[in-house]
Amino acid sequence: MAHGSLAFVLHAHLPYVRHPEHEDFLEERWLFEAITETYIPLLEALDALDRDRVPARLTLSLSPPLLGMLADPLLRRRYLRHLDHLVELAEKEERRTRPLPEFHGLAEMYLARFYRARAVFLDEWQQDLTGAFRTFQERGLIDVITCAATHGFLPLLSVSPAAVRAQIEVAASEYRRFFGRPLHGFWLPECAYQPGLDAELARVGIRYFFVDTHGIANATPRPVYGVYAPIACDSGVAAFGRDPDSSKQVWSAEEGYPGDSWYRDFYRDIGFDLDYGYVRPYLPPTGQRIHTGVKYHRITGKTDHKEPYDPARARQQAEAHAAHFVDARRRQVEWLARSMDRPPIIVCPYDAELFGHWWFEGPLWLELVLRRLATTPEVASVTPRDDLERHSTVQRATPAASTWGWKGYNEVWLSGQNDWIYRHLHAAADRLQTLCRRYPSADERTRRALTQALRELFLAQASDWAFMMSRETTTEYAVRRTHDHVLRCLELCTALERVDIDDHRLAALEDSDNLFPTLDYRLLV
Amino acid sequence: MILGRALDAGLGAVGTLLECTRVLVDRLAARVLPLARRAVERLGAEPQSLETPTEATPARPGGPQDEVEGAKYYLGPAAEPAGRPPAAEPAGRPSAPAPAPERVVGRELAELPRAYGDDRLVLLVRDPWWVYAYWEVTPNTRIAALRELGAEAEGARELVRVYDVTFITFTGDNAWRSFDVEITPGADHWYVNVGRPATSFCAELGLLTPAGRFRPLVRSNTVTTPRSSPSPDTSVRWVELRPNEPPVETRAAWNGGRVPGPAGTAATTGPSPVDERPRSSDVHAGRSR
Repeated sequence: MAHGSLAFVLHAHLPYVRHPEHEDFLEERWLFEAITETYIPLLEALDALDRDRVPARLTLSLSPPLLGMLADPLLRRRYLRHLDHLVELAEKEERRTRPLPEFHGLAEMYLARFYRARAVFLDEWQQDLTGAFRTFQERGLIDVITCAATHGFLPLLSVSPAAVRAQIEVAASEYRRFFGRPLHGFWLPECAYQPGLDAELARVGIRYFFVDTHGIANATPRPVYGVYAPIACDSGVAAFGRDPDSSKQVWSAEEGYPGDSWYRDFYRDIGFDLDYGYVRPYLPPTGQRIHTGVKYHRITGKTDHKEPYDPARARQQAEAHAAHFVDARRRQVEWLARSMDRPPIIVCPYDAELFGHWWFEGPLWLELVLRRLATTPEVASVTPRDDLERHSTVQRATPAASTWGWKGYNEVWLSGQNDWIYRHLHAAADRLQTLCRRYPSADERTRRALTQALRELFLAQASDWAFMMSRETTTEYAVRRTHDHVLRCLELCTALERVDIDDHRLAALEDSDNLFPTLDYRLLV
Repeated sequence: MILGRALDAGLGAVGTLLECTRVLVDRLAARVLPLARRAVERLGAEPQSLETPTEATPARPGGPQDEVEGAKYYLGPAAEPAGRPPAAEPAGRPSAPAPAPERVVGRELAELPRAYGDDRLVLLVRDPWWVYAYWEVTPNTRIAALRELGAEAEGARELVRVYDVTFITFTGDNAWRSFDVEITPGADHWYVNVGRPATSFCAELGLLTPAGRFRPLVRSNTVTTPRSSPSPDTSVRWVELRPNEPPVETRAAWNGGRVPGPAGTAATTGPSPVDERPRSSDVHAGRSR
C-alpha cells in the first residue's frame, strides 16, 4: 500500500485573444504557440500513458477563455494556417541544413513535430482539443477543472460581490457546457484566496481549490498536517496547499530542472538568427522579427555562446530528472508518513505552459515521472478528488489570504503600474449590476445588450492585463484591452439607460467579443 | 545604435545623423507619448507624484515562476534587431485591417471617464502591511461639508483616517484605534502602510479643521490584511466532507502529532515588514467598544 500520494495540477490559461478585425494579429500567436508546444504535447503524453495502460492520474485546469478559444472556428482556421506556415518553414529548414550536420537532425525533428501536430489536431481530434481533454477525463486519466470565468483576480474584484459571484457561476456553467458534468474543483486565478471566497465556490457545488504554501501554513487554526493534507473551510470546501519542496525543484533559478544546460534554450530562435529575407514570410505582416518556434540551441550555461541542441542527451537528462523527482517524493512521503496518521498528499501545481512552451522537455519529463510513479509502490499519483474520496475526514481551518505571485500576496496585480484599473472595473461592475436589477425580464434587444455588457466587463476583468502591466511587457496591448472592454461595457450601459441601442453596433460587439455564447445577464440580477 | 553608426560615418554624414536622430526621436515619441498621456489622464487634471515614498520597490516582479508566466506572452525581445525594415509599425501592433468576414469592431478611441459621479472610497489589500485606497468625492459632497463647517473650514485639510475595526461592526466611533494619513492635495489614491497583518481596517476621507474637528466626506469598505505567520490558535476540529452535503463535525482518531511547518514559503521571500506599527502620523488612543 502506498505511503502517500502525489497530485500534479496543471493550470492552462491564456486571455481571450481573438481579433477578427485583422487578418493576422500578433498576440493570437500566444494561443498558437501554446497549442503546438504545450497542449498537443500534453495530449500526446496522455495518449501514450493511456495506450500503455499506465495507472496515472493528473488534474488539469482549463480556463474558460482557453476553452472558448479552442472551440472558436475562426481561431481554429487561423491556427491551421499558422501550422501550415510552420510546416513550410521546417521543410525549408530541412533543405537548408543538409550541409550542416549538427543542425540537420534538429530541422528534421521540428519538421516531424509539426507534421505530427497537424495530424493530432486535424486527424485525431478533428480540431476539437477540448473534446480531446474530455475524452481523457472520461477514460479516467485526468480530472479536468477550471478557473474563474476570465481569470479575474477575485480578491481585488470582491468590492463588487456580484462580480465575483458571476466569475464563478459562469466558470461552472462553461465547464458543464464543455464537459457535460458538474464542476467539482476550482483553480483560483493566481491562487488568490481570501476568506469568504470558499463560500462562493460552495454555492455552485465546488468541493476543493488550491492555495500557495503559506495559505495553509498561516491558516486558522493552525493545520496539524501542514500542506500535506487538505483543510476544510467553514463552507465545507477543501483547500489543498502547494508543496514547497517539489515546486522548488522545478522553479528554483539555481537548482530547477528546466535550467539544465542540456535542455533546449527558449530565447535562441531562427526568427532572430537567420537572414531577414529568408524568415520574412514567417514573420507577422509588420515585418518585426519574432520567435518562430524553431530553436536549435541548448541552454549551455550562463553565456551568450550557445551549443547546438542534442535531443538524445536532453532525453537522458529528462530521465535523470524524472528519477530524481520521484525518488525525492518517495523519501519525502516516507518521512512525512512517520509523523502523520493519514497518508500525506504532495500537491504540485504548475502553469501548464511551463511544460513544452518554456521547458521544451517538460511534457516528456511529466510523462516519465508518471510512468515511474506507476512502478513506485510507496507513492501513488492521485487527484485531489481521489484524495477526498479516500480521506473524507478533514481538519477544519480557514486558509490565510495569499497568492502564488511574487512576494506571496497581491502586489503583482496591485502596484503603481496597474492600480488605476480597479476604479474602472469596480464602477463598471456596479453600474451594470444596477441596470441588470432593473430588468428581471427583458425584451430580446435589451437582453442582448445587457448580456454583451457583461461579456465586456468579464473581458476587462482578466488578471492577465494587470500582470502584463506589472511586467512591463506587452503593456500597450494590456492597457488597450482593459481600456476597450471597460469603454464598451460603459457604452452599452449608457445606451441601455437612454433606451437607445444601436443594433448594428451591438451585433458587431457580439461578433467581435464572442466568448460565453450561452451567457445570460440575469446572473447579475 | 543608429546614432553610433551615423557618427562612425564622420562629418560628411551630418545630414544622415540628423535624419537618423529625427527617426529615433520620432520612434521614441511614438512610444513614450501615449504612455505619458495615459499617465496624465490617470492622475487627473493636476499630475503629481502620489506614491507614498516609504518603500523602495523593484521595477517589476521577479522570480522564475513569473518569468515562465511572462513567457506565455513572449514572442521575442522588444528591441529592434538589425535587419528590421524601417517604417514598420511599432511592436505589438496589428497589420492593416483585413476585409472583414464578419461584423467587427476596432479599437476604442474615447477616453476612460475621469470620474463616475459617485462618492466612493475603496480599500484594497496589497499585502499584510499595505493597503491601497482610491476615492472619488463629488463637488456637491465637498460643498455641503464646507458649508456645514462654515468658518471652521478655513485652513482645513483633506486626509484619510484609518480605523482598526477588527471584529467590530464599525459605526463611526467604535474603532479600537485610528490614525491619520496626510495626502497630497488633489490626490485620488494612496498606499497606506497599515503595518498590521490579520487586522481589519476601514477608512474615511475627510476634512480636518485647524481646531481638530474631523468632518468625514466618504467612508470605505472594510478589508482584512492577510495573516503573515502561523496562527496562535492551535485548537483542532474535524469535519466529514461528503459530496453535496454540508460538512458534519466529527471526532477523528488523531494521534496528536503535528507536521513541522514548511520552510521557505513564497511569502517569506519578500522583504520583511519594516515596522509593525502604523507609520503614519497621529496614532489616536484606542477607544473602547
